[in-house]
Amino acid sequence: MTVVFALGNPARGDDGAGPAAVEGLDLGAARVVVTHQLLPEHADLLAGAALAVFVDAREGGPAGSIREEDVAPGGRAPLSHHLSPNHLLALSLALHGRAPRGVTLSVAGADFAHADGLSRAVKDALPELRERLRCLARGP
Amino acid sequence: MAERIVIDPVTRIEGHAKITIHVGDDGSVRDARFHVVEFRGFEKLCEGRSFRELPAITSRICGICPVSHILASAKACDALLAVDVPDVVRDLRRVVNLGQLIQSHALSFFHLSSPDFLAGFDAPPERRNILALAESHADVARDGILLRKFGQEVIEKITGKRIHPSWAVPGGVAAPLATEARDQLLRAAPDALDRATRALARFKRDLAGLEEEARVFGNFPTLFMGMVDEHGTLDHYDGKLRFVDAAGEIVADQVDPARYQDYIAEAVEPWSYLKFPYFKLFGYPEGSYRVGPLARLNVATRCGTPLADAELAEFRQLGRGAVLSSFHYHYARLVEIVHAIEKIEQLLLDPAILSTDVLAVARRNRFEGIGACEAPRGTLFHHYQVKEGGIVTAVNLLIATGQNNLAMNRAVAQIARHFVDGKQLAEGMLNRVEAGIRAFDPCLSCSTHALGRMPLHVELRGPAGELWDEARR
Repeated sequence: MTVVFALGNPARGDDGAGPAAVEGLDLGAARVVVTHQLLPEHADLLAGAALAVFVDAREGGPAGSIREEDVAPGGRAPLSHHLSPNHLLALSLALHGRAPRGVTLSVAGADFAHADGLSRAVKDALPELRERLRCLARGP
Repeated sequence: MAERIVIDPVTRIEGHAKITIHVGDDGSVRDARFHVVEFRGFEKLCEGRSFRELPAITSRICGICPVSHILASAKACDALLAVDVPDVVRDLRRVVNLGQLIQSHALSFFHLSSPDFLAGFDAPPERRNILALAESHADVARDGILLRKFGQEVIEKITGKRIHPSWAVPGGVAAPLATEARDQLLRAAPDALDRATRALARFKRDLAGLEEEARVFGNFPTLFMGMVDEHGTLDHYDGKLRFVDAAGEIVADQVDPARYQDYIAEAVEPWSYLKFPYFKLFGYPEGSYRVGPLARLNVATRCGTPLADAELAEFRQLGRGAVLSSFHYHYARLVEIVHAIEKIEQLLLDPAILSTDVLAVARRNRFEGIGACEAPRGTLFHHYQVKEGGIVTAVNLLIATGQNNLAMNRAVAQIARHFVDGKQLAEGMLNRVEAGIRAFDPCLSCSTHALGRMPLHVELRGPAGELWDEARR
């Protein structure tokens, strides 16, 4: 099973890229979770998962550029209750004895101010982001 | 030479704050302060809106306790309408409020604080977080995660959303409870109760190794305030205010929350955006009072559910009169989780909970409305004034964390004096100062999220709105 986490806050401009990427998208049997941030209880969803995809906006790089990276369990300890993808995978490993393969699919944002809607650069990148997400979720 | 030690940011709390510790020439701690450096401004931005919008707007104050804000707001709006809401509305709102209490308390106890109890306050920071907890005590971490999930499911099954539900409205709620949702929650409740009682039993055993912390983590006499019904039973949704003193004697009782300003006044200090409420009769700062789980267990005659009442009797053995140590907020949180699950089961087992008469329709009939409920961190008040047409002219929000502000500052100073040696700083000392604040579980704000750093854009504008300067990171 594949779990797709679409991360971000649509009220903060390009931070809404994750939720926008999955909106209306057919990802077959994948389970899609739209959330502002990753929380410890999301580890429960990974108990039987083979793949976890984290689609999100990021800071850094030319606006609209897409980056796909493997993510492994671990990382610096979180200071609060929200987690990064590597933390969530580590939590799954500790709780269930295993963690799925993790992939982050991110698009560089141009504007994270309070606003509805995405910048032109991120809007233009959405079709490719959705296609790559579809390929990942459906597997090779 | 006198020194100032700054802990910034304070970690594992909801929001951003800093602590300063003032050290004298001889190296001893003179004073310590808890600074809240965020400014939200919700009271101001509500002005000019229709009062009917306020439940949805004010619930955005917080991502952890939005249900408390929407309920206090809906109750203030009920008062503006001058309606008596149907019984089922009261019960459904009560269930949702308890669901939120469970998820919020589970987050505070298991995710944020239990790493200190289980790894030790002197353990390195990388051992004091939820990930390390899952590695060393997977059963405890799992209980915490699943209890929080249960609380969130209560909210979601009834309101349709886990966070920021727009379900409570002026005069009632937007939708009745579906039979299937009720049955799902009833099926999940016994497992949640098992996990809660197991966590409580374990914490009581662990207390033996935490005696020093219990002795100096905000252990001093203050007043306590919470809501109880006409029999003195804990009532998180619709009670009257009761104040008790450090001896456990009732100072004021059955106070209608609408009269809160007769009993509570608010002071301000130039070094914090958080207000300093106090009990009027005793003045400032002598009128310091605490709210939240510890205060509720101190003011209530009983919880009103069997397991929680047995636990309350045992809890009371910790003090002569009221239980004074703020460290026992943790203990009280677990007792309240047990009570909340029991109470939710009781309410859901009543067939009347499925009634579809969930809205009293009316126009504005008053110009002033006050609503209050017990939020996870303490009593929450929403106070609105409106003019013709229902346009809001003034809002006052009295929030639990603010009401604990005087006590939190005093707790920080007490802990610093006991643990901090101004000439030598160790991680364990600083962690204990932070943990003293964490015991109150203060909630300061929530924010956005993106991979990497959180975006921040600050603009400095002149009187006419012209941009003087800006900074980004």
